[in-house]
Amino acid sequence: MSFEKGDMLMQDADHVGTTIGALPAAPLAMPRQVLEQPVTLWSRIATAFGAGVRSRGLGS
Amino acid sequence: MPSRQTSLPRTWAARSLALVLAIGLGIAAGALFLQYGSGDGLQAMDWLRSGLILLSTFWLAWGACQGMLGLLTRHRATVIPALATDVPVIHGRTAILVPVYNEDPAPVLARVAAMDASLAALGLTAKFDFAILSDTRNDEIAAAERRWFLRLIAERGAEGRMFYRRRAINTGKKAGNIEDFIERSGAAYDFALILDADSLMEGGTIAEMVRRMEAEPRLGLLQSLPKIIEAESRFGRAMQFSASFYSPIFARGLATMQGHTGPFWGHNAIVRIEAFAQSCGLPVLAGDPPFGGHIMSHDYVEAALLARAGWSVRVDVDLEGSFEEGPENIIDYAKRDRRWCQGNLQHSRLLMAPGLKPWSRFVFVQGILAYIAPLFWLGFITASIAAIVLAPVPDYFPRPYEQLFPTFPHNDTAKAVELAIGIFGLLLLPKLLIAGHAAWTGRARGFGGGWTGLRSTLTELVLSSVIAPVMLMYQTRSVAQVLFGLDSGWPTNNRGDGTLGISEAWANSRWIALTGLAGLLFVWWLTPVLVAWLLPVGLPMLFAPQLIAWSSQRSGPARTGGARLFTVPTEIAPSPVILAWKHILAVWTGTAEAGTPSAGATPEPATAYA
Repeated sequence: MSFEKGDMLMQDADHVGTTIGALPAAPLAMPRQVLEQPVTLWSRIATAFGAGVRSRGLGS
Repeated sequence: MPSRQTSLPRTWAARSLALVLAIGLGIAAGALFLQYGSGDGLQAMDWLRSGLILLSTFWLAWGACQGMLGLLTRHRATVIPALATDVPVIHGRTAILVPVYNEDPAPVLARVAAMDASLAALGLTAKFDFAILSDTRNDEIAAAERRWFLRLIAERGAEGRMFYRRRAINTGKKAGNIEDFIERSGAAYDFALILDADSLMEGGTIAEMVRRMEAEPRLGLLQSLPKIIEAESRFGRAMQFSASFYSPIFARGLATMQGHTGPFWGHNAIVRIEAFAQSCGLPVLAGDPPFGGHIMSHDYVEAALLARAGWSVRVDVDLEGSFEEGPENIIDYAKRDRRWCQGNLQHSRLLMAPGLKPWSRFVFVQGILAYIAPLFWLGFITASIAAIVLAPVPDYFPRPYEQLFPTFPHNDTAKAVELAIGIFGLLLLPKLLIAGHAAWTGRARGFGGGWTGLRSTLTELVLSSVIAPVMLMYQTRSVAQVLFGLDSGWPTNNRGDGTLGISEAWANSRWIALTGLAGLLFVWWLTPVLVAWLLPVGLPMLFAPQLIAWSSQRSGPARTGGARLFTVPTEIAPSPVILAWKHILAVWTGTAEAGTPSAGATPEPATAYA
């Protein structure tokens, strides 16, 4: 197929990958949300559990 | 149009009623089982089984209450603003985001072409841009995506309003893909309609969603209820029927309870970009997957974060013209379920997240229970077998020097039967009531009429009951894998013909068949009389490969010349966008002559059945 047009050729940019067509350059920040208290009893238990019982023996 | 926000007292009344009823029924079932178990004296195993029955019944009753609330809620006329006279007046600009990941590009981009044509028919293309956000890792598929995309923009004349972007690194999977778009281009738009690769929506529905967002400035996210389409297999069509027949009622019940903290199911939903950007930047959780790392079931979390920031999140069940596809066989369903299971169990890390609304926390608990609750049944069955081994020898002469005749243990079998009837009632009643309600209100016409609707309901009940033990095993394995630290990764969804041969089904489910066989043999060796009670669970497990292969086959036409089993409204009167998509795809893939569908061939949109 040859549907390419002059201004629609692929552009390779390392930071994005591949683009076709100029996406609007209109940045908008997405601040990271806080979802975990730094240290809680539950996070201690989850961490200990995760570290303690990690195993790869069950197959996929 | 009046505001659609549910009043707070009504929301709390609905929540409280459902919760009190579910807890009450759970306690009643647990107490009844204790009475039954006390016949030969109460043992520790009786308390354990009673607790498991309590939890299981609570979960069943909670689902049943949601269905009942849906039936009791007065429903609004459904909305399919597909006709030119209904075109909503909208002002904002919307980006329609189509994330893709190793998908077959032709059907995906044909859907985009169909949606674009649907918007064009309403004269609304200037308000919408499409962005194909590829996270495809396979270079051949990516090359095909680019070729089909170039064809798409050439055919639709869409230069400057359709974009393709493939990320070099797919950090954060789908959530990261959307986030990347918003961070680069989000400020150019007021809203983003988030789709899946298999999503399809009427232009009028999209425009109506934008109109509702503009009408309520505090509405951060509006979710539509997508209907499953294009299912061909027995399993797929049963799911399609279920999603079309029951889901709108259950979703109406959910909508009654949601208040301002509604759900986000990840696609076929529109977000206010400002709200989403402010509130939904997801952190990477400490530790490794499955509990740490990127948040997998990001949609639930994003809905919770929007609500935390004071934005309203809503599902509007009255919006028609929203579609998706579903898995065609049990194995594909189980694969998808494995991913969801991991995502939902990961939410256990977020239950105590600061500032979340109580309902958001409860939604996380529900998501976790959806995967844990079936294990309660497995635990109950296992405990019941163990109880036989551990049962004390009956003591017929507890007071040997005071009694002449033996004392027999109480026989409370009637209580066990009552309990079983109650539990089956909770399982079956909501679906049967929905069938009755559909016949009464005329909604069943879209499902082939009252008789076909009832026949489909009963068949679906039987099929889902037979499949349930197989799904129970898959879910048990999923939960065990997550607890033992195995990450599901990000497998591609199979969206094509999902027909399975017996050898493939055997390879994927022999462990279930062998577990079923071992279980039945063990119980037969232990107490032959108990085998009959376990057959409803044991037989489907034993024949899981046959069941999986059989249910993946294409379902046949109606034998009697009447409506086909599992008929749904979109088969009787397909929405125009579905017809347009099929036509475009047929032309693109060379299975039809080029041209546009004639106006006469396009039936009216599916009548409102929600």
